[in-house]
Amino acid sequence: MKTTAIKVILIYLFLLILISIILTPFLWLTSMSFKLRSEMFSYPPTFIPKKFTLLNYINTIKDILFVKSYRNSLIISLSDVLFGLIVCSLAGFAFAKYDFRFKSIFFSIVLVSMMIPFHVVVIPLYLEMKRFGLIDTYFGVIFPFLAKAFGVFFMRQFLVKIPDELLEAARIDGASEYFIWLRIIVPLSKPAFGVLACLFFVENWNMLLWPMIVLQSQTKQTIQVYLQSLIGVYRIDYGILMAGSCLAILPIFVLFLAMQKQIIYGLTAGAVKE
Amino acid sequence: MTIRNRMAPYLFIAPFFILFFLFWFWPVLFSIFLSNTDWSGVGKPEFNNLRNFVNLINDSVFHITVRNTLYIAVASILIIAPLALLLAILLNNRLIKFSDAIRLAIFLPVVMSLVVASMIFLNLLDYNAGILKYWLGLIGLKMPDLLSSEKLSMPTLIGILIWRWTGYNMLFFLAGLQSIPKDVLEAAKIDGANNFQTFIYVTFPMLKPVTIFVIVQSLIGAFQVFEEPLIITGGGPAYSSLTMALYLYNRAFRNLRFGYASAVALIQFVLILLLSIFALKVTGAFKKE
Repeated sequence: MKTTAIKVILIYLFLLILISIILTPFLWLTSMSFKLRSEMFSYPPTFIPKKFTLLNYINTIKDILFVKSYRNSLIISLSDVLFGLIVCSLAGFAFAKYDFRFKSIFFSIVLVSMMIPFHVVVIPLYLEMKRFGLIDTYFGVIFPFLAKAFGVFFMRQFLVKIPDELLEAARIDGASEYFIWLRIIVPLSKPAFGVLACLFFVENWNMLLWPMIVLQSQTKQTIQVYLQSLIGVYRIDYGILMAGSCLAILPIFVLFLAMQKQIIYGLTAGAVKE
Repeated sequence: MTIRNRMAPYLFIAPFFILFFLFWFWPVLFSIFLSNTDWSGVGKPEFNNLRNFVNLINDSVFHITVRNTLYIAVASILIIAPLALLLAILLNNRLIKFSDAIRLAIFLPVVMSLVVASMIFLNLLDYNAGILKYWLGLIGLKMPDLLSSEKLSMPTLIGILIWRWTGYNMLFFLAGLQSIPKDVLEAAKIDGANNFQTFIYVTFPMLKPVTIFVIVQSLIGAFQVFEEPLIITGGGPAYSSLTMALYLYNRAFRNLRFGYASAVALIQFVLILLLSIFALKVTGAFKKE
């Protein structure tokens, strides 16, 4: 018994040290955001600011470009979630509840598409967007990522469990397939939508490469692109950078805290059964 | 099944496939085409018949990026995966109130945006005033200049990647561990196996699908490391932390050599496919159980 107790304590200790290391960046970021510029780079560094200040946050909120880019990120990420859910739920429904010619080929294409790394298509995509005139538009940022294979796969797994009799009964009552989707499938999909919405939102909110390439105007930038532009070679406004970064990760943090279980379920549900 | 509208399923999958065709399939084809040309984005692309690939073979910078990227891939498999598994085991056994919180804390780096994370590490690892310097000083070590050192920039990058992805992989292992039926484990105990033996002969084999998944995902991810080197080291010094993805980006969008960059992208794609197939074969995914 004694050796087990020692083992447990050692494990706790190990985990505690590990977590302290892991959380350091977060704590440091928060601490920096409340420091005055003069204290930010003082040595030895301090975790708890000697002079606590809200100045950085005030400046950040006053920064028009910051506010605009925050708004842009919200618009783009929420649109991505909305359209993505529609596309995935339609396709997932088809694969779950219908039999049609070439169904398995189509589904294989969905699975294979998950293996195409983005960097392979980024250049042609950019050129395509130029051709379509979608450079520097929100649509240009959203469109390429709406074909969410993972989402289709996930919706399919979820919708397969819905009893066929339910759909049959609706058809007998004269419902069209579209009506079935809109009025039966969609309401029933709420839990799955919750999971996917979280995953889609987080992934989209954190994107850097594609928005950076597509969006040219300063006023259309997303928050990540804007923050990245602040890490310039010349005068870096650390106050806005720190406070802005905190505000930028806040929605994700809150979302994650609230929907932890769903997000984790969504991520791992596919992997274990395979 | 009585379906009056036979076209319905096709219409339902249409949005996905139209988007897929437009924005993934066609670009892949176009990428193959582009990789055989010289193009700066204006005017017409000029065919140069595999000259890009020949140049790539002789491109010493490209060789460095391949080496670096493989370095990351190997580190992911040999460091991140086992560490994630270890943490999953630890968290799975101690049925404590805190396991949820601990899991959350370990996973948190995954949801932090890469831009913010990179920026913070730039700060923490600063040679002059970073907190790492302070901590090392406390235990009597001198702070090496991590980001300006050719030898250390890569290990530093890998350290940051470990910070970021261990939690993510841990989740998958946890899910896998939790899906192992308890009676199997008990049967092993009854047969006289101790913890270690149970793990090697029972638990680990049952984790095979998850392990495969983690390894393949890590490989694919290793090739896409872009933001961290971009923001933290810029690929330097002397290309020591330049990854394939960053190299591609530089060639395409800074040097405006789209043809050449597409050749790099193609090689990247092929390498990922080959490595994934190799990983699947090695871990026995194709064997029948």
